[in-house]
Formats: sequence, C-alpha cells, structure tokens
Amino acid sequence: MARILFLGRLADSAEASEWSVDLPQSTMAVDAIRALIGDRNPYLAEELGRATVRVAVNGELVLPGAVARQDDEIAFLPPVSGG
Amino acid sequence: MISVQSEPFDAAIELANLLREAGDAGAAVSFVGVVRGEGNEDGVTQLELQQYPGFTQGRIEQIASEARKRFGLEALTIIHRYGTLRVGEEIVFVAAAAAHRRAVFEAVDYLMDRLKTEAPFWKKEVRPSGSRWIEARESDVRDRQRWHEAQG
Repeated sequence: MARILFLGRLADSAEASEWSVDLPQSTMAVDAIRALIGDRNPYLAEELGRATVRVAVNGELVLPGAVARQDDEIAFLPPVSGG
Repeated sequence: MISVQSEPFDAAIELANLLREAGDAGAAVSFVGVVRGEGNEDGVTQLELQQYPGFTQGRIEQIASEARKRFGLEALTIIHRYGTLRVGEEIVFVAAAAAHRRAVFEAVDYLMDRLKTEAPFWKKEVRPSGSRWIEARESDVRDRQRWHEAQG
C-alpha cells in the first residue's frame, strides 16, 4: 500500500490527512497518482493540480515526472504558512 | 542544535547552552517568537501548527547551514514548536554566536525572515468565529527578499 499524505488545507478536501492506496501498478508516475486521487475526489483534483502544490516522495521533494512505488510515502504539500 | 518539537522550551537555558557551546565567541543574540493575540472580540485564541516529520526538520537544517556559512557562526540553535499553541505561548527560539556582534544581529534577523516564509509548517488560526489556514504575509515575503538584494 502506498501512503498518501495531505498536508495543511489539502486534508480538508481529502477528508483525511492520510490515505492508504493500493497502486494499480508497482511503479507509477506521480502525475498518474495525482490523477487517480482526483478521480476519487473532484475537489482534490482541482487543488492538487495547482502549480503551487509540491510533491515529496519518502520525504524528498520531487520534480514533475518523478515516479513512486507501491510502499512509498507520497506527500502533497500546499504552500507553507512559514514558521 | 536544530529541534522541531511540541514541547515548550526554556529560552534562558537554551541561550546558556549555546554560550557554552560557542566557547570563545565574543557575541551572541537570541530571539523568541510568541503567539500574538489580536485583542478584539474575534481575535485569534490559538494557533495550530502542523509539520511534516523529518521533512520540516531537514529544511530548517538546510536554512541553518546556509546561515552558518553566510555569517561565519560559531554556534546556532533553532527550536521551533508545532501543535496547538495558545496566545502568549512561545513558538520559536533562534540564537547565534560568532566572533563579532554584526554577524549575530544579522544572522538572527536573516533566519527569522527565512523561517517566516520558508519553514515547512502549515498554520491554522483558531478564532471564536472559526478557523482558517494562513499563508506567509506579504511583509514577510518582502523581508525575505531583502537578503537576496543584500547578497548582491
């Protein structure tokens, strides 16, 4: 199972701060994972699609085009509030 | 020493620890940030700060490393709390030691400008009327940018 984390305001739309998702393939592009989540939740689809939302895989920020694996932790980070 | 923690800290003890660590440094400065209330009926009663465990610490360590190099610091402590914090509670402690005072005044100012805009926290202000997620203020962003210009 992949752990999908929704930080900040994204958890409001996701209705949870974390989802466990069985990815349909053992390796998937992060963009495809984003689309899969968006299919389940149209509010999230819109928010996750914003350029200001960054993605981290296993705690490291990734560029568009990155991939993730079945047991990875994929976090969606909206713009930070700062300290 | 960089710590992201939910527990309160004791600024006096942390400054004393830093001074001990800094050995023969001639100057040290410390800063404490406190949750502000707004005094009116619908003022903020508490702040909820969310971190991303590991990630938040890592990013703050990176910022600290850049400050150490830029200002030639002998020692540096950053403590940032997360969780539910009430008005009047201390949120953040930044202290630096170096050979001379100009570097430490600037380093702590620099670090607060960077933390206010870049530290990976997500904050919710809780008021009697409800809660709302907040973003860095424009004045904080401008303050952060002046360090780009200063560097030239």
